Amino acid sequence: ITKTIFPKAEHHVPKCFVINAEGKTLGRLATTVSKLLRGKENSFYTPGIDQGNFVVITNAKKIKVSGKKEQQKLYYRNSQRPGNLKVETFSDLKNRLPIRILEEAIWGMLPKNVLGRKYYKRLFVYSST
Amino acid sequence: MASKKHKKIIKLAKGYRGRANRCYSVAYHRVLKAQQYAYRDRKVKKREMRKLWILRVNAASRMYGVPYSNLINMMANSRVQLDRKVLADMAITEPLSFRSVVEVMKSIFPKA
Repeated sequence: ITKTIFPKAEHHVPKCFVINAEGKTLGRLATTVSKLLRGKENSFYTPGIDQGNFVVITNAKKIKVSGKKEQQKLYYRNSQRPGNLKVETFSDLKNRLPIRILEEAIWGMLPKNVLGRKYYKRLFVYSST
Repeated sequence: MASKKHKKIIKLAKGYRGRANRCYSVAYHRVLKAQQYAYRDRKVKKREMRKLWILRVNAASRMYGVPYSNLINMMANSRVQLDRKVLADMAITEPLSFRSVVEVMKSIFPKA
């Protein structure tokens, strides 16, 4: 009878994935990226250990969404000061800061803890190649 | 004297923070709680391990195009009696055997 293997964090060598976002759907791309960032495709995945990978996304400004989301999907930000709730649509944000769209989507799909923040730091988004 | 009983508790309280590793009246409550947690977690550990095996088998079988749910369904309908612990261990230490299991399952049950 063998014991279940728990690998150590020191032994992990992160891989680097480069993904082209051109023409891809926002949410579907973000789920696969968040899985890669956490290292969940490894057969020795252990929840508490940092076994994530690096992910570089290019062509972020060519990301797509279906339906009428270009005009209707809203992004909010607030600075805690009363009256400072700012709203932007998807297309506005795409013109202003396209990398923010993918960063927000992937941040929402990562766990909200110490490890999740670590994984997020391994994400690099570029608006063109 | 009471010190025999006290020493027993304080010995169990090694590594606790503050006065809980030295003073009986503080240590007593901490040790009781620790033993309650130990009782509960002996049962929880079995659940957590199974969760871990399922995660790992899912990751490994998806590499060969079969999600965990389908793989388990195929295994339930066949006479293979490998359990999740064995599968997870195979996926790490003997990936070729794991792969052969997946391929055999795929050949028996071409997904309709």
